[in-house]
Amino acid sequence: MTLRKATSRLAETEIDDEIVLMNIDTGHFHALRNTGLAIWKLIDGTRDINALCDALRQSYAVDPDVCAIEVDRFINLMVEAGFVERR
Amino acid sequence: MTFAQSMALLADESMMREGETPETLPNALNETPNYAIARDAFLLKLPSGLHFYYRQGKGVTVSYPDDVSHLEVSLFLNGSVYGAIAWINGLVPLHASGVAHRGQVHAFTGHSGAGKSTLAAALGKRDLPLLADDVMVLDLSDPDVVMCLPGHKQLKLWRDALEMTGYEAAGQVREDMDKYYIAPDSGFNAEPTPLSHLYFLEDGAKENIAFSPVTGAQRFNFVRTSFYRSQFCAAIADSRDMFATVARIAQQVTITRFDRPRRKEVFDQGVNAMAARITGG
Repeated sequence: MTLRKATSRLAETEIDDEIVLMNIDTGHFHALRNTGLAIWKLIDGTRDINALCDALRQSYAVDPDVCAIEVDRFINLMVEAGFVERR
Repeated sequence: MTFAQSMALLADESMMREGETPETLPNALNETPNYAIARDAFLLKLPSGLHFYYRQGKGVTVSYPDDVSHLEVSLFLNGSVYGAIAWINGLVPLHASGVAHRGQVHAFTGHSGAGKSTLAAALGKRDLPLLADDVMVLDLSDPDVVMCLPGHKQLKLWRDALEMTGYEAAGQVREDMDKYYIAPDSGFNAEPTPLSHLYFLEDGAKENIAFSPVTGAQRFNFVRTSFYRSQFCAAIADSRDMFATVARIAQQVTITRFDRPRRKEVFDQGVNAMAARITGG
């Protein structure tokens, strides 16, 4: 299942090395930094969880299983917050 | 619109006359027992019976019972009503006091009672003229500049702050408040002036005075919390526009945390440290 940013209902801005997201519908904010920021930047509407992990592992030395668990956890959080859609 | 025109607009829209005020705003986007706000109007109804009714392009109408003083009227006109007028007219009021130095504004924000006015008053004794007290209105019409519009020419200080700063009271803010107007010794900066620094006043320090830079998402949060009467903006502004406004200020202004002990005996040290920071001394 590919992942895409829910651009119609979020606003984002990059400040220093962090990104602030706002859910337009709820008014809730979320800040991304470090690996969360790296994953966010890789979400382009074409990648699924596996592809995200593959892309991340080109920059980070991380065990594939650990990477998959962490990315899955992050994506679930983002979907729940309304910032990412699965399709 | 030029910055001078924005200043004139703010002054014109804040013109007040006595007259009838309505009980409700028919097109309100947010309504509470005390206020209602629409895209082009604002109604403030205080428990004392003091009511303000602002309509864009028509100024402020006020009504009040005989036992409400002119001091109370001025206090609210220059506070919540002024803030609402700014938001409705596309300006951005911050809950901040600030001084000017070499064509730049250094503003202080923090929770009520954090010492914004006291610090601005004390800096007024160190050759730093006042730009605004308590409500600082920004004009963001030029994308490259976060411009501060000069605010009210007096500061409001509690009695203990008067004593700490060494000012003489120029008048009481309200009969039942131990708070007083003062005119700052270094005068008033009457020209629109760019905001360069926003300091968050904190008082958690036990001993040492500390300046620490604010970075990343925290810059965004700090700017958001510095908005004056942000509930007015949230009611009438598009949330994407509001987000973009916060982001822009966070990106264009240097934001610093200023932590100092809130003890009278070290008050001057904190003021001196801030004055040195501002003047590069």
